[in-house]
Amino acid sequence: MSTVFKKTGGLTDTPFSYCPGCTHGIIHRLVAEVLEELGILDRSITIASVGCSVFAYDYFNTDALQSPHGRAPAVATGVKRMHPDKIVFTYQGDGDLASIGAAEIIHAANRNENITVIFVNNAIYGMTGGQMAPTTLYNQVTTTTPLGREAISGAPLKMSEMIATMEHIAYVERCMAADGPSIMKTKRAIRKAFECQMNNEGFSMIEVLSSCNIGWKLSPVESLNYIKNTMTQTFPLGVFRERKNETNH
Amino acid sequence: MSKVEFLKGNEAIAKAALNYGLEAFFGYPITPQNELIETMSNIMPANGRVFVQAESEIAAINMVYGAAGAGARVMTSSSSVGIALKQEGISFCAGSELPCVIVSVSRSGPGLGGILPAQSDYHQSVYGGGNGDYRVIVLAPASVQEAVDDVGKAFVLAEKYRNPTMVLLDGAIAQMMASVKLPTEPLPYPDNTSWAASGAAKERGSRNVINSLYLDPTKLYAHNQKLHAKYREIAKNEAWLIDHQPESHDGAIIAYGTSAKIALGAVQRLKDEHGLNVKCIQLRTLWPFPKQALKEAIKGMKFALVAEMSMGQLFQDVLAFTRTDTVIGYVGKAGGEIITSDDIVLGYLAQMGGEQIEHSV
Amino acid sequence: MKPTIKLVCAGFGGQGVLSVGQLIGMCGIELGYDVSWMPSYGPEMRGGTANCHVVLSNIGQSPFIGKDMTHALLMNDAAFNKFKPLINDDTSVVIHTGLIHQHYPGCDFSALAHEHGVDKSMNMIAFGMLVKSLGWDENLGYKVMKSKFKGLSKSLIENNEKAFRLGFTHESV
Repeated sequence: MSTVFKKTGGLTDTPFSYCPGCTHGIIHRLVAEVLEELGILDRSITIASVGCSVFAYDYFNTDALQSPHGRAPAVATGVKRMHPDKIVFTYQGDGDLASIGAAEIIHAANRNENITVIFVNNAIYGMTGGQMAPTTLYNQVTTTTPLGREAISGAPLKMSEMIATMEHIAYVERCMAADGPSIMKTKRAIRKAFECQMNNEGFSMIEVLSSCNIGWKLSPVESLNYIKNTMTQTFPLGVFRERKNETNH
Repeated sequence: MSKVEFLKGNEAIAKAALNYGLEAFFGYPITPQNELIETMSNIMPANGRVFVQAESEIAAINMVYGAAGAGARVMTSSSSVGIALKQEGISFCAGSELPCVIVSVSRSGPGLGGILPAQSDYHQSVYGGGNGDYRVIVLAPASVQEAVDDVGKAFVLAEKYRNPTMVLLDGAIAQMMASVKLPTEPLPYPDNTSWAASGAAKERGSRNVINSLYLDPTKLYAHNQKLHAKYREIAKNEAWLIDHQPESHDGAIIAYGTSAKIALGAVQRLKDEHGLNVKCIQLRTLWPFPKQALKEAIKGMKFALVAEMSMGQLFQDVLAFTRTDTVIGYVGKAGGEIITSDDIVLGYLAQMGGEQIEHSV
Repeated sequence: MKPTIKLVCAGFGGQGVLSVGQLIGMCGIELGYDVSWMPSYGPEMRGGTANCHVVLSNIGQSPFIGKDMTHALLMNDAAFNKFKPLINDDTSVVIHTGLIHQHYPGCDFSALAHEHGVDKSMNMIAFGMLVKSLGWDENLGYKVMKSKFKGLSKSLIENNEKAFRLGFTHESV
């Protein structure tokens, strides 16, 4: 009998701590498969952040560093500058990257650090129990916006659009993990991002719209539909930056 | 043997660190340590080493965490307000047992305070502001040469114990130019293979993970016990003071850093002008605090005076750690006023016959 | 034992008092002294008033800021008033007589520099006077200037040396 499907070697055997229905597991798998397929798993270094994905250092089958909240891009800078020949990526949620770590992500991008950022945006603080994130949609109910988010607590922060304005960076794309085709598309985007790093093109970031059915108080299926039908209204999918294709560079 | 050079404290520290074999420096501008990062921006890239001007002190210490975690000999520097911002990262470095050197050039506080020299960051350095049961080794040089020597010692201790190590000086030592000899040879590099997350899992045959998260209290308690055993070892081996006049028994002046330098002059005046044989005890490590050596150095004395450029932070610890019949006095200034030998001499004469006071709050 | 030297140099930012102090310190190194040079720092260095203390002591002593200056170079009224308490009868004082109207030896540095076309090197006149009053060799001054000013334009170096010579041979010292 031939093997048609097996677990990727890019992940350890540690069971995920994610809630049933959460798409973090899928995104982990995509990253791990890409590292394995590109043949870079053995020289990759995972930079874990704080939030639901805090244990990423236990899941990816690579050397890893766990970072203080929001500081993963700074930690990645320190690692990559010492080991320019290694593949360094951060795996960060929207609270970590867009709120407390806004300064670190912007400046790492602006320095065009040759790292890859996997930015998982589920528009909520999952780990702490469902509070408002900077990416929370207008009218979205969270434990700290019980009446729905209003303008007084800020607008949903569009990180991909913002990061895409950085002068030198290589690649920015927003994808979603909502169904088969979009997941395969996300994998292609992640692959592209790591290829940018391998080719020393510089900073790449893949934002993945992801579900938090527990925090959103929806069923897993409703959550996936929420990504497709609602989140994408605020966070349109697409490539926001691909320097290689720019004629003026 | 290196030649004598005439260098600013900040510049000397930077050049010494490079010569000791520094591989990466991450910093952020703040007075009075600016010449340190300016010098680094020049000499590090010129020697094929890493220099990054970070977006904040927070980012700088996290770059240090990353580089140290990946196995590099790494350093950052800052001053009071900036060191406050680094505390979270320092706690992470301690929790993950990463060797790194932090040069703290202290100015006056609290808050934005001022930019002139002070020693009001004794608590900040020794007790830290990061969370958890952790310790940072703190060396306290009193001159540019001692600062240069301490940077080397800091790398050795940081790497020996895999622990963040701080060199605490004040703006006076950083800003002054002095005759100084720099090191000429790099320190030997330790073998980090067993723990550094250097992206070499294949060669090593196993993953290395840098982490301080343990949700299981049994594991975290065990981790704390392991750290504490290491701290006890450091306390036993590395506590350090200099008894400048071991033959003097009338009394003592206890100080560190710039205050110790000034106390040396005051001791001479007490002898010349008042016929008192008073010794200057210079604390060279603030953590570990040289408790036993200090107790012995003031044994049998009626009076010892703590001289510091803060409002009694060191005094409080001397009182707590010596617990002797010796009356401990305090003389100090803060806010950027530099203590003078007049302050110390007059303070000594005024308090030497008195009762124990509780100066600290 | 060489005599301990405690010098304060003070004036407007831009008059070059910090450089004079550094050059004296460099001379001290050449002469085998333990040297410290302590500047006022911060906003003062970027304009306004500036000062530095230079202590040349025998190896093993502790060079640091003190009182009872052996030498003082004071380049404006504010500096004179600020540092007068550190001066005693034995202090060798040099003042900028164009800006300070007090009975101390000195020189109208601005006028003298202008007269000889070395306006930008005014502080080197003061350096020359200090080297002379310290009883040091003229060549020591040239040696440390050469080391400190390497990289400057030839004309500026020549002007510095010319100004130094003016100071070293000035009648007031």
